[in-house]
Amino acid sequence: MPRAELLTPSGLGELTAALQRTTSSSRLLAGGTDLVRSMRHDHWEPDLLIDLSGLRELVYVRLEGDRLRVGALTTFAELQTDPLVRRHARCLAEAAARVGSAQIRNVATVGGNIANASPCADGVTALVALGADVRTIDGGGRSTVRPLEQVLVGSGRTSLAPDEAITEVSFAALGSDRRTTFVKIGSRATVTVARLSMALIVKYDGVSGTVSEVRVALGAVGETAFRDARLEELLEGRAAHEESAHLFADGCTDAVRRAIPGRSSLPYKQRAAVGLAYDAWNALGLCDRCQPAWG
Amino acid sequence: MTKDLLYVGLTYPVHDAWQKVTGELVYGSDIQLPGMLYAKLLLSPIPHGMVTSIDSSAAEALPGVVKVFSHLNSPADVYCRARLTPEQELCPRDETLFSEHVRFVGDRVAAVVATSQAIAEAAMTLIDVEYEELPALFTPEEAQRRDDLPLHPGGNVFFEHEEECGRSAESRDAVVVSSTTTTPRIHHAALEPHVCVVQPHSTGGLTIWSTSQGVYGARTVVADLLGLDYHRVRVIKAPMGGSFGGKTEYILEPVTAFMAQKTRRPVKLLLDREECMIATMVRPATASTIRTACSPQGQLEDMEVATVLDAGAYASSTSDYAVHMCQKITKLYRVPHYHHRSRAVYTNTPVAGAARGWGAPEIVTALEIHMDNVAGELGIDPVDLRLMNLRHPFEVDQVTGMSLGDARVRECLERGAAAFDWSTRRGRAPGSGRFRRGVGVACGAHKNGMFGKFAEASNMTLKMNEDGTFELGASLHDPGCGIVTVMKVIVAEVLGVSPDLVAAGEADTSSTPFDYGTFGSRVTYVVGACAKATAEKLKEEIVTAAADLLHEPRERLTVERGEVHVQDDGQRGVAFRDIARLSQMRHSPAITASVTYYATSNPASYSVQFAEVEVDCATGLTAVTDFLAVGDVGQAINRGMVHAQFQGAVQMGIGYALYEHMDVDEAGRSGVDGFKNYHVVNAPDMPDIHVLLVEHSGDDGPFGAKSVGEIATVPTAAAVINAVNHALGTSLSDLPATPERVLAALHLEEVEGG
Repeated sequence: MPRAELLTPSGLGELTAALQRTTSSSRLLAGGTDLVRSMRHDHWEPDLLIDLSGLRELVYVRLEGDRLRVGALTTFAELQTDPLVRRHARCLAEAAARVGSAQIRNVATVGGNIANASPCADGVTALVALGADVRTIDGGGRSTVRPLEQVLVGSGRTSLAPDEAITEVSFAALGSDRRTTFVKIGSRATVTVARLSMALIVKYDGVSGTVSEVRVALGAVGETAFRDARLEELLEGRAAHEESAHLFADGCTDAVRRAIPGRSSLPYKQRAAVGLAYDAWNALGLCDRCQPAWG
Repeated sequence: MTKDLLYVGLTYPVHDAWQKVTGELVYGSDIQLPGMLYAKLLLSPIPHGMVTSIDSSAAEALPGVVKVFSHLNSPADVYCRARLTPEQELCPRDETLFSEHVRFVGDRVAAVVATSQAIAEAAMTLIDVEYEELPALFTPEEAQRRDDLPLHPGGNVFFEHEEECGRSAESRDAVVVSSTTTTPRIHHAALEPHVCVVQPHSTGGLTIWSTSQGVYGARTVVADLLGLDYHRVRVIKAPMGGSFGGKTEYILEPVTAFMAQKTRRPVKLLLDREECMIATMVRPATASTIRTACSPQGQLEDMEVATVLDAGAYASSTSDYAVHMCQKITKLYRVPHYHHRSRAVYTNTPVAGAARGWGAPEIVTALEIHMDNVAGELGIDPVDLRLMNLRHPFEVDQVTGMSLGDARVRECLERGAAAFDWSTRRGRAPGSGRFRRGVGVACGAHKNGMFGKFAEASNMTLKMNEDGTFELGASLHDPGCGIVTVMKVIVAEVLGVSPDLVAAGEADTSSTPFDYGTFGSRVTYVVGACAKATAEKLKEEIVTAAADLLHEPRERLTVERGEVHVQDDGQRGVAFRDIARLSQMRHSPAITASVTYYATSNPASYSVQFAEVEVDCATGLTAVTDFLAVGDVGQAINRGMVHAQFQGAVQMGIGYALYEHMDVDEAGRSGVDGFKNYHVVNAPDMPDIHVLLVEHSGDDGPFGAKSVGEIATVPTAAAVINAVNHALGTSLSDLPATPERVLAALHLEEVEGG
């Protein structure tokens, strides 16, 4: 019976050496919450499995200048409580807190979330809104950086080469003039896969009471999480009040329609998007418990 | 009555709690035998078709593979997995060990036995099967229409039942309401997966470790199928990590026994979660249409019901289910004329069968949603409408012709409504904003055993050891709800000794007397009554021995707290342990009692439940925010476990109402393979569940106790749906009320699926 060979590098040097031996049938093992389940469920094994758990140097959150750098093996449990993430990328901390169950968050990593490329990945939606860059290392020891959007190719598909491992995600730390949140709808309140998720970042001007430099990422609608430029433009310069929430909700519905035309889940998701938009708007404190207008 | 009881009504841990917590308990999956082989099933990936070829050569070439089984090398004899006794009715034999004609995604096509689980799994993927596909029928509607495409000989509608009694009192100004409710196919979600271990013996016999709810039935099915004498098939009840009906029937026992017999090696068959979900059993999907006529004041005058059950690919117990669905409504309400037709239909979907409540949750959900529609039509409060029609104690159920016993459903409703503050909460406006609150109520009825259908009886032996301890010989099948403890407490109460002095265990056909098993809500009421009768007989034996030792007439002796006293003589008495020790030489070598107890009644058990929900009109998500379950249980034996039964039952019922379903897609696939995509209600989504017990103990159960485990979940889903409808002003009646359906109902649209 075929059995996977397991390599357990304990540093980047050993990782590079291990990556040199990979084929398209090899896999990297981070938290294993998706990979192990897939192997068991679908009865397959990679030819080579590289266990990344020894790479403790890839577990960190650092603020360097205006950039927040997160090691690829940082778990969601760590992101959820990290003071730097909470201060400079609150949407990521909130997304981390909504991933799976406590048991999953204790082992699932931010790098794994990207590499697995699920359209529903909570962490990815927040990172897309944050405009994250992904740093990788390959079997030749070359370290390169590219935008997250270039890594995510489709549902379950990435542009990562077989001998390429994610080492870090980084993004511009949000200043105190930014407000940000992550919201999601699943089929129940907790321990649920997103059926619709959103990360929202705005610059809020307390004097004029308006928002600008809006960034909205939507998840679980289509192949990968994405930013919607029309939705962002719609909010640009809007006042932080109920009317804008209404506008935003309509915009979200339109964005969902554009993203998944004809999909059987569209009738539900376009409506639920209204709730999600209000949840986000209220969470930013741009409105005091605003509600959609009914009938 | 409670004040006179020493042990009954207190709270005890279940008998194996300690072993479960420490990991000491040996579950079926933990059993290891020398030379044991591991089996893996190959399940049909198509919903309907014929197996045209099986090439297992690659699998058989794999080192460690012992044998590959399929229809090519196994008997084509048909059997019914639900059969308990050789002469049982309503058990169509339509299933074989391995299918040549596959009828659902999950049908057993082949199995590998190998020296390890990993080898068996790897070999399974190497079996090459070719199929000739046939058109598949996924709903009872399609299956009834396509009589040109029978899944089994005899057609797709394989069973019909009808009950009719009384004369219509429908008046000219009657208010007529019709409604149709559909309930989904769901997974039982027992934590422990299905498992069976079989050891063959050189004598030709077998020992089977079965996690079923009735070992004698397992013996009957296996022995008959394999042509073995009953005394050569020993079935041991293995500890069980939950069943909820899903392990009632003999799904793994026949195929595992066959493979052990053929390989002459012990074989273990352990399913994974996906296999448990698609390839064992599900609660049947049902559709019930109810038409009622009632007076403008709300008095029921006439009721007409039509129910269709989706049996899935094999009949299993669905025929009996169809009968029982016609026998619940008249336990609950006075209906002058009641007419109920039910039919069971084959479809190319997972096999339906026994599930907690045996048809009661399905029909009561339809009934109680309907009753709220009637209340709405009449402008009457739902509690008032029910009080006008509910049964009174000791009325006769005209369908079964039996007394309902000390039926306290009205008291459950009245006391529950007061405790829940129903009137105030129902009177509050649900709100017009995004989050709307509503409250709902539902009543449910169930039974206590099988008296009226079977010779409902149990048989036990109780012996006193020489040190004054006791051992109960009984075929107990504890699914995890504490049956063994209940029996110990009953015996202890009769004898006036601590339950710690009573030993009881689970069933083993080679050493414990015949009993049907744990189902039909019969255990506390019938088996428990047998334990009480047996302990009472033993107590008489003890007094007889004491009379001999004390040289006193029996009439002068009384039994209290483990001693026999001479009345009016505080000085003279003898302790149980001394009676046992001394009498062995002087009176009788063994103080034992055996009793066959026959049930002579089958009263109703009731539960009335109240739910409060908050519905998010933007996302369609429903949160259950408060819940009260009231139970007419006669007398709680193990009080803490009675509360726990209600809490677990409500958790299942909320899932039934809001989350759980296994709809098949156009390829016949259920789309669920684990708890990742099959959602039960988890702890953060659970409300506090308040439990209120109504205890009158006027029936024949031990100390007046009635059934709990099944009735507890009967009205839950309807209470939740009624609360959602109250919150939204909708009339949702398709379960589960998923966010899609809630939003569609708010926007008055039809929506397909869940």
